[in-house]
This record gives sequence, structure tokens and C-alpha cells, in this order.
Amino acid sequence: MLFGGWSNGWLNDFYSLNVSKITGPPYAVTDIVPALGQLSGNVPVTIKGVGFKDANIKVIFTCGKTPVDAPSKMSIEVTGTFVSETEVTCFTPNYEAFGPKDAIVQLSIQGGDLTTTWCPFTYFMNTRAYKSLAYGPGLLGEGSVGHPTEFIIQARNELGENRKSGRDNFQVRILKVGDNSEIPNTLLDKDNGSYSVKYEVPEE
Amino acid sequence: MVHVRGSPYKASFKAASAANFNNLTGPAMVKYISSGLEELHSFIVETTKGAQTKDKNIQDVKTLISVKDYVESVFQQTDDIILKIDCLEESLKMFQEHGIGKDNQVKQIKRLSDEFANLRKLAKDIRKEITPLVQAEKEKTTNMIKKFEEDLKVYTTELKKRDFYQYKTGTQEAKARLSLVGDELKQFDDRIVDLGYNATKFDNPDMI
Repeated sequence: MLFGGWSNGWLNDFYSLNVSKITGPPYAVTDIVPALGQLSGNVPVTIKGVGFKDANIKVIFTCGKTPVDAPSKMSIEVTGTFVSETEVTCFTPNYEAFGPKDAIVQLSIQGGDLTTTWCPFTYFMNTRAYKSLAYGPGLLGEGSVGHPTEFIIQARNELGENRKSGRDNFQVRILKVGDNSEIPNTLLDKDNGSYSVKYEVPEE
Repeated sequence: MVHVRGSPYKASFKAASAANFNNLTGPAMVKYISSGLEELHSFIVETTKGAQTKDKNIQDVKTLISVKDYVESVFQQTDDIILKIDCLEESLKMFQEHGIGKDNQVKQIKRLSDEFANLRKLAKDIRKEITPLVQAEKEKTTNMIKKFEEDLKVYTTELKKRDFYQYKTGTQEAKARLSLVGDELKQFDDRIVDLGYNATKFDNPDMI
């Protein structure tokens, strides 16, 4: 705000400049984990930052790579949950209207301005089990008894493209033919769209 | 819960197998890749040849059935073949990442993938080409079965008028005549088999 005068005479004017769009609100976002999620949304994410308050938190996902001053028609809003002054959680919105694209994540608290800081978030096409595949010695004949074996699950999306990130949920059950007893296995998410499954058959 | 393509899988184990058979790039995988490529190649070559109508007399019902079978096998096995190609591609990619991939095999799987795409197109075209003939044969088979049914009824009725039904024919003579009936019944059986085969191949197995 600015006012002033000259030689003991006030000019009787008063100027104000709203700098909140530049300085931003008293809260800011710095990171989002994970920074990518499936197109259908509903992925739990944690937004990190400063100055969060336990009030009405709105998280805005805007399609594109540029932050906005106010939500636009390219934005989808979800409710955030306060965790601490530095953490807010939310579930990502369904982004099928925009497709598998980059988004900018900002938030506002109690109807205040959107953060001037933002985090990028990438939407990818959902993994489809019926497009995914598995291969490796652990799925072949004549494996060796008493030694660990392995196979790879390659996640693919609707277009049959290999997925490039992890966090899919695969349930693997290995059963012995005959008594249907379960053979334990470990599944390793390689975070590149492939998953390694290891198991060992103790006897022939 | 949706199953991953190809699931459930079956694996088997032997005490006699070497430990390195379980390695991702071990001999089991090497064999899997080479035999997989070979199987795919054979399937594509054989089916392409079988599904062609060029230089074939598709007016002949047996030839038509053979072409139809090859064409249908492409449609029936498409998902399995695509899965096999995908698995081989991924396996070869993994071998390359380990620095032991063979370029000729990578080229071969790409070529096979293209060839299978061509085969699918061919199957689609041939299916369109033979559909009127198949439909005609289907109707023909239906009529033949109806005719066969009538023949059988007439034959059964006439059978009762034969000599061996007459007391005066005598045992020896009646037996001799009956052996001829056996031959006639065999002809009917053969026709049943033929018509049944055609009815099955022309998608009407219950007709017979």
C-alpha cells in the first residue's frame, strides 16, 4: 500500500498493489510422491510443502506444463487431506477426459490463492493384465529342482505398449500340481514396467 | 481379478536338470527362443500355403474344407500367436540387455511378426472369398442329409419285403442274402461318416 504528500500537505490518495500472485499465499508445494499415476486416477499421493493448515484444502490438477492463477476448464479439483504443516494427501482425479498427459499440481487452502509453486505429475495409460505378458525360465519345462528360478512379468497398457514405471499390483500364486500346495515366491517391482518373480521348487 | 495373458502357466522341474537351466539367460531360454522361432516360422509357412486358393480347385469340397480349416486356424490361434511373438520379442530384448542377444534372431522375430500380419490379412481376404462357396456347400450338405434320411427310410421299408423275411427262402439262402445287407449297411455307414464330416466342417454338426 502506498500513500504520501509534500510539504506538510497530504495528497489524499492511496494506492494498493496486490502482489499475492507474485509472492504467493503463505503456503507452497514442493513435491508430490509418486509423481505419476494411472489415467483412471484414484492413486493416493502425498504432496509435500510448507505452511499447510488443517482447513478446506483443494488440490488442483491442471493439464499441461504451465501453472495457473486460478482453476480453468483444463483443471480438475480434488479434496486434500491435511497430514501436517508439510504434508497433504489426496487421491488423483480421473484424467480420461484429457488422456495420458502431463499435469501441474497446485493447491489452495480455505479458498485462498493457488500456490505459485507447483509439482509436475504424469498420467499414464492404465496397465491392462490382458495385454501384459510373462516369460522366463520359471514358466518353462525342465527347470532345475532345488535352485531358484525366475520369470518376468511385463506390464503393458491398453495399446500393448510396455509400461515404463512400476507400482502395479500383481498377485502371483504358484501351485504344485497334485496337492495344490502353494510354493512361496517373491515379486520384485523393477519400477520400469517389469516385475521379477522368483521361486524355488524343492523336489521333483 | 484379470489374468495376465497366457495365465495360468505350467512349468516342470527335474532333479537331473542343471542349475543354470533356471537362469534368465540360461540354456532353457536359449532353447525356448530358437524352438519358438522355428515353430512360428513353420506355422506361418504351412498356413500361408494351406490358406491360399491360387492354383487350387476350391469347387472340390475336400479342397474347400482344407482351405477353410487353414483360414479358421489363423483366426482361432491369433491371440496365442501374438502372445508367442510378444514373449519371444521380450525374451530377445532381455538377451540384448545382457549383451548376448543375436541380431539375426531379432531380425527374424520382426520378420515373423510382419509375416503373421500378412497371414492375418490373407486369411481375412480368403474367408471373404470362400464364404459364398462355404454357404453353398452347407446348404448342399443339409439337402444331402435330408436325402440320406429319406433313402434310409425307403431302404428300411423295402428291407422288410426282401426274401430273407420269407419262410420259404430257407436258412442258408436267408443268411447269404443277409450278408449282402451287411454290405449295403456299410455303404450307409460310410455315407454317415462323410456327411457327418461335411456337416461338422460346415458348422452344422448336429444336422447328422
